[in-house]
Amino acid sequence: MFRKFERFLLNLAVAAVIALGLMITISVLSRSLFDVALPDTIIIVRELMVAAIVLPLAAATLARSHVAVEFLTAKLPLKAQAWLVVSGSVVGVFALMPLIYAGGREFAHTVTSGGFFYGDLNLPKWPGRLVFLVGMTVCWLRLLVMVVQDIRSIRAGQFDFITSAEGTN
Amino acid sequence: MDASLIGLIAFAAVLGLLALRAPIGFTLAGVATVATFFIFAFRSGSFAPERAIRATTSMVYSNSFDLIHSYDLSMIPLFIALGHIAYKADITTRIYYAARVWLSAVPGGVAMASVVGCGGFSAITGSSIACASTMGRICTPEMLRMGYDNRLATASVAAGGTLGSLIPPSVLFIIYGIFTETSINRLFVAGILPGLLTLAGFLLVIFLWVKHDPAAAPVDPGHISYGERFRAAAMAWPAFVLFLVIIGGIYGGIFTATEAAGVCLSAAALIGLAQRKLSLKDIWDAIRDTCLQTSSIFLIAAGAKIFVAFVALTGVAPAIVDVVTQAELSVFWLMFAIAVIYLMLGMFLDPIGIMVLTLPLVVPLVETYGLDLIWFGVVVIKLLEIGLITPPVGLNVFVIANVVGKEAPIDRIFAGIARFLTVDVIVLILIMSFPVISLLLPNSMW
Repeated sequence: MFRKFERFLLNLAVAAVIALGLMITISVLSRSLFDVALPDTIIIVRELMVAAIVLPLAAATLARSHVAVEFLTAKLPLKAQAWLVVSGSVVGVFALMPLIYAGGREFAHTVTSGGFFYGDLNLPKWPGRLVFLVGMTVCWLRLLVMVVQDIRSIRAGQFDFITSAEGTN
Repeated sequence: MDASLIGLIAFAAVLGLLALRAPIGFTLAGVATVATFFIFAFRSGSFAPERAIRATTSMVYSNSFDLIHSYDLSMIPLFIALGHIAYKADITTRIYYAARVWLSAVPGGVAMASVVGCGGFSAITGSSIACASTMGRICTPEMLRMGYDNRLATASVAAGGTLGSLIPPSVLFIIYGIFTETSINRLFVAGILPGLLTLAGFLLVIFLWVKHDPAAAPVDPGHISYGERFRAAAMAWPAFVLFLVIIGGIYGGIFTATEAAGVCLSAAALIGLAQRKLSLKDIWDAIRDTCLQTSSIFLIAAGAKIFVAFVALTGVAPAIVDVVTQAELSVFWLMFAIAVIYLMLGMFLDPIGIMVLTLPLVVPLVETYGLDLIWFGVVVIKLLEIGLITPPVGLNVFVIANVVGKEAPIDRIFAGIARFLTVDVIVLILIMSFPVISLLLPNSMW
């Protein structure tokens, strides 16, 4: 269920990147061919960027594609390496908590104050804030699940998850 | 507690956690958050945590959200997607095949074609590692099959892959532009001549290598007619069009880099669909890979942005500037010291990690000395490029080693790399000594 939700968020991010490309292309073409400017392109692209970047975070975490320096610990015993991978995830859990707290506060503020972007369409500010909050929260939950699962694997003597990490790239 | 002391402890904590394999983005964000909290909490002299929580979380949130909520930075996912789609549509690989056909009769021709192919690939995508990985899968096995010396077959592609950082569009230039607040358009254009100089140097290395040792690169005996050659060159037209749109558009002031990325992505997808090289599923898959890659890059960038804001609070950067200016270090020794630090870090860390860790401290120094940040950006990217092929952690070398397996052990690849590194160092010295190489084109832009 959780993985399906992560995949759904990843698909939304794909749609956001496609929309980004189309938005910018149509904006350039309409400007250069018809001398017409699309309304609020910059604001819409900025809002789409939040979806494109934050929504895949949980899937990227699951794929262990966050960059880390492996060289210095690569010669350690597998068990020690496994604990280091777990502690890296724990660092992530703590690092995201202030972002989620502040993201929640900011989202609540934009909803209650009815904040909007100045422009032709007066678009509301809350969708980008909501997407940020959802993306960060799901990534945080994924990290938490991985910490638990990885500890279980270590206790069972299985260290496969170390090699599935892409590490430094 | 003194802010600069907190700053020094935070730097030590970051280095310690990175050494212990903690992901770079989480480490920078986590350490900066905790340290910022302490700075705010001790600001009034006594410990006041309630006020510090609100100030810290606001600072952390605004830095990360504002970074992501950016129009200009949408060029990163767009350029990465362009690379994936151009590869799936065979647009990038056709540059290599065209060069391969034209250089088939030249000794070392396939190795030269690989380097030219890497240059062409770099002109459409922005990642050195993607370049080495893609070209390595195509060119290296072919050279090994033809009986090329395994050092030449692997090192030429590992070194050629580094062109991805210097020849625009380059993800490293974009990240440098964010953190130094310099024009990404000008950075892109500044990378062209140094990139071409490096490419020419690599071709010269192959030429001299094969001249000295003809057995290293047996010549393909098959004859290829001029008709076939022109056909192969004509097949590479989409790559030339995309390159022209990116560079011509930016240099001529027609597009911003972001607009060039969007237009080229749409064009590449349309070309691929029209030529039946791409299906809609291919496009979706390519963009899904893009999303995963981009979110990892932005996690580091967001962590670094928070860390930079924290460094500004500590006063560590001005303190370093004071120390260096009091030592009356000349520009030569300053640049020499920076180069040595980057080369040493390049042996152990990945390029984005090095950049985000060092720029908050180095850029104020460079600005104090009145040096041009565009030129300095080219120097930094060149240094990072060299780090990609220096032992023990030459990432491009490991990428190629994964591709070829047992046919070329790591030590053989590094042995081949040594000759290309010589050229890299010469080009670096030229770029550092003659800033005009980097600044000629950006200073003549529209």
